Amino acid sequence: MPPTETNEQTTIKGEDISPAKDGGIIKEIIKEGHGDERPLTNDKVYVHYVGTLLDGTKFDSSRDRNQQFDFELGKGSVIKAWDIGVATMKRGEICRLTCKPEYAYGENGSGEKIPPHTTLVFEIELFDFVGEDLSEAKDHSIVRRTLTKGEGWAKPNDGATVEVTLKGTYQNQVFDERTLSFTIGEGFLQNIPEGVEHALTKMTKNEHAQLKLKSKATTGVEKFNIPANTPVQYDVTLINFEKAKETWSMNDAEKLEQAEVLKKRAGELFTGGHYQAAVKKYNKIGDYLQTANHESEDDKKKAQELKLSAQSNTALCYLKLNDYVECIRSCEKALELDPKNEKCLFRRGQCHLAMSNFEEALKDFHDVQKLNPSNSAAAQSIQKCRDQIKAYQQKEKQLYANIFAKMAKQNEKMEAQAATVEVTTNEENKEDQTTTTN
Amino acid sequence: MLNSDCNPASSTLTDLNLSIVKEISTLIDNSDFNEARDYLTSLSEQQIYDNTWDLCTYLFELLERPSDKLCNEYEIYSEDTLTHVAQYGNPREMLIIMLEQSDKFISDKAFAFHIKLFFIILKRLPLKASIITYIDDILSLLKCHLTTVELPKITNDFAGKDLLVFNHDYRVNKLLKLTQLYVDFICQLRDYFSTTPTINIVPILGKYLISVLQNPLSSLSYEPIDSQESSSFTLIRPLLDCLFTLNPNPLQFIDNKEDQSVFIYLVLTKKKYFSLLPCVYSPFFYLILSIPIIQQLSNDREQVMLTEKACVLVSTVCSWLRPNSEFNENSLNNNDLHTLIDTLKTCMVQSPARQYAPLTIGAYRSLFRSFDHFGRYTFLRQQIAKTSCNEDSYRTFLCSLLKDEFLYDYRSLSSEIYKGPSLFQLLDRLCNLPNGVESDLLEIYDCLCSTLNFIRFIGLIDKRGVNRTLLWTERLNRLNETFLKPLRKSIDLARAHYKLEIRNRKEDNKPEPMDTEILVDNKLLSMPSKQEQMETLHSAVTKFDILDCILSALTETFGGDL
Repeated sequence: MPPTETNEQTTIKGEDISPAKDGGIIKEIIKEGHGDERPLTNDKVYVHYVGTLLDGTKFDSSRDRNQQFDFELGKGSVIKAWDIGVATMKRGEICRLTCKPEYAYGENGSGEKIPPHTTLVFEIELFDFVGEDLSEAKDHSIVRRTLTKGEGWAKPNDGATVEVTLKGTYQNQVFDERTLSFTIGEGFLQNIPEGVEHALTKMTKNEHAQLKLKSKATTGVEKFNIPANTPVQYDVTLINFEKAKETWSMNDAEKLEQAEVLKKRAGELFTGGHYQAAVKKYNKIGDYLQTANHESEDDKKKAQELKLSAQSNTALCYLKLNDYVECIRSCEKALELDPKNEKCLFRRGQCHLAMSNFEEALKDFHDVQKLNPSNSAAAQSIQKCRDQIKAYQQKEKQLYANIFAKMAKQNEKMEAQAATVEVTTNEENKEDQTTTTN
Repeated sequence: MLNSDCNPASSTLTDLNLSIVKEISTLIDNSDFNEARDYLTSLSEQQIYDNTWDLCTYLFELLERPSDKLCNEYEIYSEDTLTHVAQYGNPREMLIIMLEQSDKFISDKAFAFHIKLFFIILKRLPLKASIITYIDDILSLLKCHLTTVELPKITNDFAGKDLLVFNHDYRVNKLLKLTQLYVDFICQLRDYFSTTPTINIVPILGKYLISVLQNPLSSLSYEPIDSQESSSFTLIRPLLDCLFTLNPNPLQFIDNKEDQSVFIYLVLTKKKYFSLLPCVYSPFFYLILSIPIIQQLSNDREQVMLTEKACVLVSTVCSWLRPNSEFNENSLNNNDLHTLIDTLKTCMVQSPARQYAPLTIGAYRSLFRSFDHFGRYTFLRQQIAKTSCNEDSYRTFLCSLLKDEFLYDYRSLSSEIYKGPSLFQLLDRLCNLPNGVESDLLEIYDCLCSTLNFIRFIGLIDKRGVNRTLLWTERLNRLNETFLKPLRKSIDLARAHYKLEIRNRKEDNKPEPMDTEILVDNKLLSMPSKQEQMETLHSAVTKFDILDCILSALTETFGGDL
């Protein structure tokens, strides 16, 4: 590569790899790497580096720290020159990057080591790079490699409508290939695995990514006759999306309107038996209305009703899922808003009954009866409670009766043994007394 | 029932254990401390090993026994003998007893002594992975003692001297001394286990150092006073130094930012430690890293020391952003930036620590300036759109930024953002009476003044004959009909109402019956005197007159068009 001349009349060897070809990043390969693969955007890369100024003054070195430096490529975590330069490297490659201030720390400099408007020189060795772990638990259950970088910053959020192309492969066989639109949070309705849906919330428009899914992230692939928890791969392109409105961007009236829309959708999901998804929608209603500050009395009333209905329906969803603890929690939140809410008292009672907390269950059912003496379900449940209490007491009685009987038998046995030992000892003593004469 | 214990060997052992302790306790009760010491040291290592449990139980109890004498011989004896037992006894048994007796762990001397014993014991435990669990338990126990230290309070409105007094309070010094012991212990562990590569205790040591910074050390101030380094910061330097020896890039310890906020604040705002970080991270990286920390630290504004840290951190990271080129309008799709803006707004408007308000205003301006020109326009548009009218001071601040941006845009002839519909959109949001002519003008007074002045400013800069903004020809009439005329009417109504109120109060000399009471800490807040009430009413009328003046100036600027 021909040397590049600088304004300071210092000749810098290498190729101009800056996108604008303005001499901002000059790369010189010191040692060639191996293979053809280069790191992709969002990959985690592992390097060693030595940073110097143009006059050779060293300002930083990972080698001196005896510790490789790692970062996620293409995310702006490091200076621009690095995001651009490291992306051109192969495993095992050592290169020198000469970075103009515009691609480094610019007019501000950085700390005490790097003055303003300073050109920096880095000698970088690339050891390895791996896909980005997108999973919440950081257990590598969703690993992404971005094959084509997307546009801008915007990413789909929960409730966004997305249009995607996807291709799922298992043991090199394609089991799922389609282009479709769906709503984030409701992907299960269209057999989208959980891991794919989660990954889409981290993607930008026109991004093409390869996803490797395993364990819990593969939930949903069993619909394609693939054993659960089996690692699969998906190629996904996010063609387009429309974000759901963010809470911060809505005024109070819009939040109220959205809450109504959510309630309707949650009801549809509930009817379809998708209780977890319905709970998420109801929870969102709570988030929307929590900080809303309505001025008109009508709006205030509407908001209160929506909050109460959301909590009450959440409780019902948990009851359907047999998650009694969460159901009780939701009922209690609803009862804070309306202490005389018959439905929630009854549901809480049902949960207590299922958990064998009979006294608490009775109290709740009695409260329901006080509010509505004609509530026959409450009356039936009270009777059920009483029957269960009776049965429980009977069981306990039997259990303790058995224990005491066993203990009594054991005592008798031991007493009998003790008596036998005593008799034998007495006999021995008697013999001694009769035989000993001196 | 028969005695089920038929094993003669264990009963002999038990008898022997009890006899050793009994012998010692008899000697102690007779104050024969030297003999008791000799007796213990004369026991074989095996005997001490076998009797660890009973000896420790007795000796730890003896350690707490009070004495009338100046020199507590029980304490001296116990310390010596416990050290001896630690060196020769069963380390696991002794460790269990020490961990179980945490509720007796109340004096600072005991704290230091326990550290000494723990170190001896840990060196004698087998080098297996389980040792990390023991270290975890020990560090957790020791940390508990630090968190029980009482600290002085400081008012929200503290000034330099208040902070000096706070920093030198004996309770703060006590906490820092104990922390030093804790850090020294961690350094000892670091050094000891550095020779055993199979046991990696670095993560656990790092975890506890960072956790101590969070609680209880987050309550201290580390900011300089009159350019002098804070004494608290001087005393926690060893802790930070230790962290850097554990991992030369301690940012790698970060996994739960909310529990590590003080650590991140210190590493990013203290030059010495910041310079030790890798010199490749971008200002954007530090900003994104800091945003949840800033939000968390500024959440509870009663905790002044946390707010102080939030303000300093946000000021620092925002000052690193490149002006005009760090962000563009697409960056505003990044929710983290909105979180930061909201947090800054809260700190600016509601922070009780007045001396840090300038820091947050400066940070806001740095953040704003880091956007390119169109990014700044979008920023303002979004902020004005989502800020309700009752956030008067913030809207006024936005208006001032808008004015500067307009001027900059107008003067740079190439850029033409603030003209036509893009300008009018902003004006529509600002020129708004929330309740029409019945709006409470005093509630939105500051923003009203700023908005009217801004409109006048446009008219003065962009004269009728030039009209680059198109305001003269395409918006003035609408502005007049939808905003200025209703505003005039509103002012007249409000003025009349207040003047009537003044007249009524002047004429009626009877005290007003109060229909509301305000209680603060169960004490009745005294209502303003009649004179104060009158002054408030007059002041309101004055404000309406000022609005009138501004409107007149506006009319003058725009000639007969308004």
